[in-house]
Amino acid sequence: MKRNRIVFFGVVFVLLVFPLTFVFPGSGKKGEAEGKAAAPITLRIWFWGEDEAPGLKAWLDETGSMYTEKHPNITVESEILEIDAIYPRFLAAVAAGDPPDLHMLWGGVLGLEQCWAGNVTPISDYWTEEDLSKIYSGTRGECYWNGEQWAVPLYIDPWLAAINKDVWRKSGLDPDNPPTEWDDFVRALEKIKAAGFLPWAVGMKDGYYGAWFPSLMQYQYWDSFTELHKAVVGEQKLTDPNHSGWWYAIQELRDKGLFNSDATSITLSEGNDKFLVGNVGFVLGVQPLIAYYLKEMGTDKVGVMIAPSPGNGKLKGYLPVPAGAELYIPINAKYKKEAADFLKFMYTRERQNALHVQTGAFGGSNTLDPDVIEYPQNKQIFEWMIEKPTGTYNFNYPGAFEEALYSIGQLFMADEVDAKEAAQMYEEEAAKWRKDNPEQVKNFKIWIDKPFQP
Amino acid sequence: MKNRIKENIEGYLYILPALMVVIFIYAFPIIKNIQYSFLDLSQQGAPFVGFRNYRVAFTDKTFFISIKNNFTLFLLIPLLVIFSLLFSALLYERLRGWKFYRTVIFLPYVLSITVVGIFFSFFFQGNGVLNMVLRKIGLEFLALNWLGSTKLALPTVMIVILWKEFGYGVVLFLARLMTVQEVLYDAAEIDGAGWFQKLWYITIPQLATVIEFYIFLALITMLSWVFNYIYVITFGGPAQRTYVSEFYIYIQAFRQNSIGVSAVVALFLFFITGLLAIFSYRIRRRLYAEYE
Repeated sequence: MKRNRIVFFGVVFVLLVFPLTFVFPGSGKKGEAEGKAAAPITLRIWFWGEDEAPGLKAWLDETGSMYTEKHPNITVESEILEIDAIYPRFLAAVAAGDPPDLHMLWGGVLGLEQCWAGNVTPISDYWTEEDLSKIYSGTRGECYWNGEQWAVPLYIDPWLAAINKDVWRKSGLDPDNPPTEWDDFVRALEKIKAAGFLPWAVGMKDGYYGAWFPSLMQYQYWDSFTELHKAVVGEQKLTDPNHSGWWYAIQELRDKGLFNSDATSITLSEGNDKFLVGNVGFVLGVQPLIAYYLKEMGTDKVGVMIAPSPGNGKLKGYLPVPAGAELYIPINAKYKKEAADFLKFMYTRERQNALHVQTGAFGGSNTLDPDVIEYPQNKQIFEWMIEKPTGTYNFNYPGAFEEALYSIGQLFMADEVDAKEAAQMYEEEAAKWRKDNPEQVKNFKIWIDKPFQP
Repeated sequence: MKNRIKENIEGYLYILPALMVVIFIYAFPIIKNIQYSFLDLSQQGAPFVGFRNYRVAFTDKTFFISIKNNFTLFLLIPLLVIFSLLFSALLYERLRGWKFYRTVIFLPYVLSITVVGIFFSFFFQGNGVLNMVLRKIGLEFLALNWLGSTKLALPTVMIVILWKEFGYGVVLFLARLMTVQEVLYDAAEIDGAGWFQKLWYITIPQLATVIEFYIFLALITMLSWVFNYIYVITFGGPAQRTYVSEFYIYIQAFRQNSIGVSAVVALFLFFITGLLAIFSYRIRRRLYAEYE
């Protein structure tokens, strides 16, 4: 009986102590020493993007196998992340001291926040300026901070507009020469409406379109994205004409009834899906979505254009080229040098060509051979990506600004506020963010002082 | 006395392993939440920021919209109780086909909230099924912007919640009614009591403890189990007018990367739920003493 008690209390003691090792983890070093090149190593890549660029995992695995042929001691393993799990898994892996060697995060501020938190290593520690020049200049700026480049795009999501050529022709318009000036664009939409079609399909229920409008129109008022950074820190106001012009432009379209009447009760995807029905003149979209339209509707029915804007800055007519997914090297990744080298391999012309052919998406490198591009619409997009790439509005401000645009955009579209009130509400949200996040304001000021120069 | 203490200690030691697991699963997240509420995890080293996260949360109008909406959802509780009571009382009459009706009433409750949410998000669209039918039968003036209007979106979601949740109350009350002594009703009938009098003087008192339990469950549901409805049907819109506290926590943690602020709101929710639990326990003790 006494022996049983001793055994029992011994077990209880072990059970008590064991869980404490999880509550109070040891002070294990955050990072291991760099892996020795000769010893067998496994490079791990966690990414999202298969939903937008189907075939991306197969391409990554193929790239990994090809890399292993050149470096027999290195095996590459890739894992797809769920969209809502991207940041939680990253933060948990870094905190646990066992992150993958390459991790996908969003570009712009959403990725730079991890750089500010000290969770990632700059790519520019391993890539030369010549290597970095292969990234589209419009995309580079969004992950360039304090003189360093922090991430490499996995693929690019050029952001533009699609038009239904049949609808345009039936409305008496020339779809092969869409308007580039705002007033001509408004007249074109009015003609489409008069012909009995829906000019512009929009879905606001999930709010995203509130940020899409300025992302495709407002930057055209500027000479550079530093103007947005200045508005973020309060050196310019979001009620100034160069920051609020788009509200008035969209108000004009709203008041003329050029959007669908159910815009506030359908999501962005549902709004964009209306384009497939064949009676919508114009939608905004990313290149993979437009590639989907081309496949479903036929290349003779779908045209592309850069969204017109009343703005007249140096960036007028430029194409936003955000990364669909950026790859970062976590601060405590085991094989940083090998990860950076693998990225260079991904950026060779052969691999970038294969990426486009297999997924339809554009890779992050401008070394793509235009001859592998199949659709004329994609060739046009590529031409714009090379000649006039620029950054993306909603990669260059804090997440709180985006959330504000979601809700203000919904009120605005439901005609519960006008353009002036909407711009004022937006500025008030910005002022609140500045008050609540003084450290982040400092980070934006560094961005202003050391901008990326293409 | 010493022997009794020794016996008690021994008993607690026997349940200690299981208790440790429970404490670890429940207490550890709460402790970490308290810790996070004082940190800025978006900065290197997660610095201590004092009560800044509390100030940010409690001066954010969206937070107050969320709490107000949770309290607005409480208005569903009397409706849930009344509907559940009436339907269970009717089913208890055991009219022909009552088992079929019971199944039909309970069916929405077993459906996945996500499935229900997706269906109703299409049903209530501007050009959705409901408005199409209303326009077709000449009731165009009723074809409203159910999900896109800041005034109508939350009441629309409340209708969906009521439809889905009241079946559980019906089944709960019916199960209790099945154990009520028939002689009480027989005696009331002999005394000339009508249907409503039997409901008021016999059924409701007999169901008192179950009603209290159901109200408590409904309060918890409206506070911390409506995230799925909001996420699927409105995503917090339009203009954050259907935010609830769970959704606010989700947005702060996973969209804004403000883990500290979300931790504050999570603690607030925990505190409110705890108060409700204590309050409910006291009421239930009194009811049990009175009616059982």
